[in-house]
Amino acid sequence: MAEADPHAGFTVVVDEHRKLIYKLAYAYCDRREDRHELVQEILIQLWRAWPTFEGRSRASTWIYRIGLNVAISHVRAETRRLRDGRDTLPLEDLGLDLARADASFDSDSDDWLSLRRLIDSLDEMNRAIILLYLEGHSAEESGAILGLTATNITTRLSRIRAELQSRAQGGAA
Amino acid sequence: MNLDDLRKSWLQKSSALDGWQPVDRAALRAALEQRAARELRRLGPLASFELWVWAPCVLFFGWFCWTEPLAHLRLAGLAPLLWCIAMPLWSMAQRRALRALPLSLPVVELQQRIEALALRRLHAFKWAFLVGQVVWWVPSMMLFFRIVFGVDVVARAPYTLTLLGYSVAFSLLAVPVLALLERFAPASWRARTPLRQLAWALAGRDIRAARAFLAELQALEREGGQPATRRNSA
Repeated sequence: MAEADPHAGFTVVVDEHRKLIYKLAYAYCDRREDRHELVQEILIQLWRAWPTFEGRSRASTWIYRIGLNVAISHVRAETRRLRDGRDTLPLEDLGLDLARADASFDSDSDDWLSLRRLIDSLDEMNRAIILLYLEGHSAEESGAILGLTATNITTRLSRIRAELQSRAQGGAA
Repeated sequence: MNLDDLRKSWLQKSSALDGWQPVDRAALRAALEQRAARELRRLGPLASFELWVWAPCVLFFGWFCWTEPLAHLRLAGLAPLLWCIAMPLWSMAQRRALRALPLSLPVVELQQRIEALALRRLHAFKWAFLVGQVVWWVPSMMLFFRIVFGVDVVARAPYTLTLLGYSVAFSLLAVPVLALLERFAPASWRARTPLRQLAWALAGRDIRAARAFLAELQALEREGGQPATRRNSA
């Protein structure tokens, strides 16, 4: 009897959630090269972890957890592993049009620059919280992904909101 | 500008990605399979650097201990031999523990586990450096004279044992001295990378940074009420 394919369905899930993977990388990396490297790293870690995905949580929750864990570790690593050419995934050839995504996300409108500055000013964990908020997740959903209570998430978001407001007032003064 | 406006901008940008072509699933799968297989080959239980360094050392010190008739010289060879066996074993255990962590755990929980492992690794490095001073310095000298000149340096120069004492004392003093230097040195000195890196590693600057991140994660859990419920990884 043939063995079950441990990676069956993986590419379907990645195809459905590739925007999420890109946005996650965008939240943690301002520079395009770093962002692409992070997208690649997340894809590889998702591939490795896929055989253990049992479907008890939603695929998006699973992707968020792995993606955020990889991103935080990636940002915290003092020295990045430099990949040689052979180890680079040809993301563009595979249909992940990152250049187009970059062109869209690296905008210089005022709103967008404010958002980028806000994201850059946050630590790793608050960055995760703001990303989940921007993506429209409730405090409960964010809490389940991060391992925090909904109250905690709401408290953190209020602080970020207050910080943004005080910055806007400071800018206006 | 408030958070809700920023969210609108974010969602607008996201919709710009809707026009992406579908992923070439077969090619993606082939590329990831290839990449994972390559990584598996590359990441054996030991890194190739470790194999190239430790294996000859173990063979060499093992051969010396086996063939050396004098007990105290055998002991001098045994110390680095044990060190050379213990270090890669420790390294393997560390790597295995890191790889065994399921990345799909809730973010705070996994980051805490990773940081706890990092703390252990940093402590191990510090102690490896300290013990390394004792294990390598004097025994290496004894072995060198024995192998190259056939001389028992302890019998010829009894002050070798005194030198061993100084070596131990120096090792034990190195950490507090470096900690003081790191704390009170002027900024210009700290900016010199090799000195700073060594001082940071030995004085525990990295350890403090890892501890601070752990404390931050614990504070994050405490804020806003009850601790978060742990959920099983998906």
